[in-house]
Amino acid sequence: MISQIVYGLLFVLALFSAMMVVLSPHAVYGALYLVLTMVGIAALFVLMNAQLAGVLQIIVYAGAIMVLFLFVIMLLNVGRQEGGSGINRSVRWLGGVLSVAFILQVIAMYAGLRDELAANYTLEGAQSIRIDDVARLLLTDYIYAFEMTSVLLLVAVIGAVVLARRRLVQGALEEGERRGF
Amino acid sequence: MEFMVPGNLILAASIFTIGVFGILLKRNAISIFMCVELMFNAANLAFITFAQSLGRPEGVAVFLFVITVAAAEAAVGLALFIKIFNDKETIEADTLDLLQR
Repeated sequence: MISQIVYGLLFVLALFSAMMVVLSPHAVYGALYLVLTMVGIAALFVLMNAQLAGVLQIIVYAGAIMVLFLFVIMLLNVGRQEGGSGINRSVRWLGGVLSVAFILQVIAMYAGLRDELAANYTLEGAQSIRIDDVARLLLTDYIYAFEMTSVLLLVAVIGAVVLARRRLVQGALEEGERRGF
Repeated sequence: MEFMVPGNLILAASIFTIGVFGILLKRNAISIFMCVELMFNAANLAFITFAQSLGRPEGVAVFLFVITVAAAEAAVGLALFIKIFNDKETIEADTLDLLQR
């Protein structure tokens, strides 16, 4: 009973804050609601006994990535957005109607599959997945993907530095020339 | 807890759709990026739900990959936005139409 209440609260929290990410007019509020969504989903992970995923979600997503987002929003000071023009606006609200239709369709599909889902997929007594199983998988079956991810991260870091610098190298060169190096 | 698997899948589908709708609705490029993060989160929720219900670690491994890709994408994308903002003084997606001309 208590777990049902907790699950319902987390469900509503995640859904509400996900909606507020889209609906809040200011980007900073949107980012804070996104943090709330991620914390809600992390709590759902912990409720499913997936502690590793929950902790990683909090540390990496809500901690690192969202701090980067908030930092850039505040750095660029581009929070508020104006309303769209007429044609774009109607097209966008048509997108909203289609989104609601899609969600209703998915819910209807799950309602049809409910017995099959309940028979084959259950979280009843789900064991928490051990971190050494995940590590063994990452270093055996998924070793190439794992190595490619590290290359991807390296490329992303170098790319971010190269993109975001502001003629810093050139400025340093000029500065060096001015000083007679 | 038999309601959790369908509930989580419905929540994942809803959050994913909210992300898609936000990409259509938003004009600020950073807000569009945040909606992409919402979609990543929805996918992660579905992955972890199935990993837990099947008791297999593959879902958690894919979750790790998704987080890594999201971090790399956020770093490069936000650096791009800083660059665009330095050049154009705006990151409104509707005004950045250089490739449409």
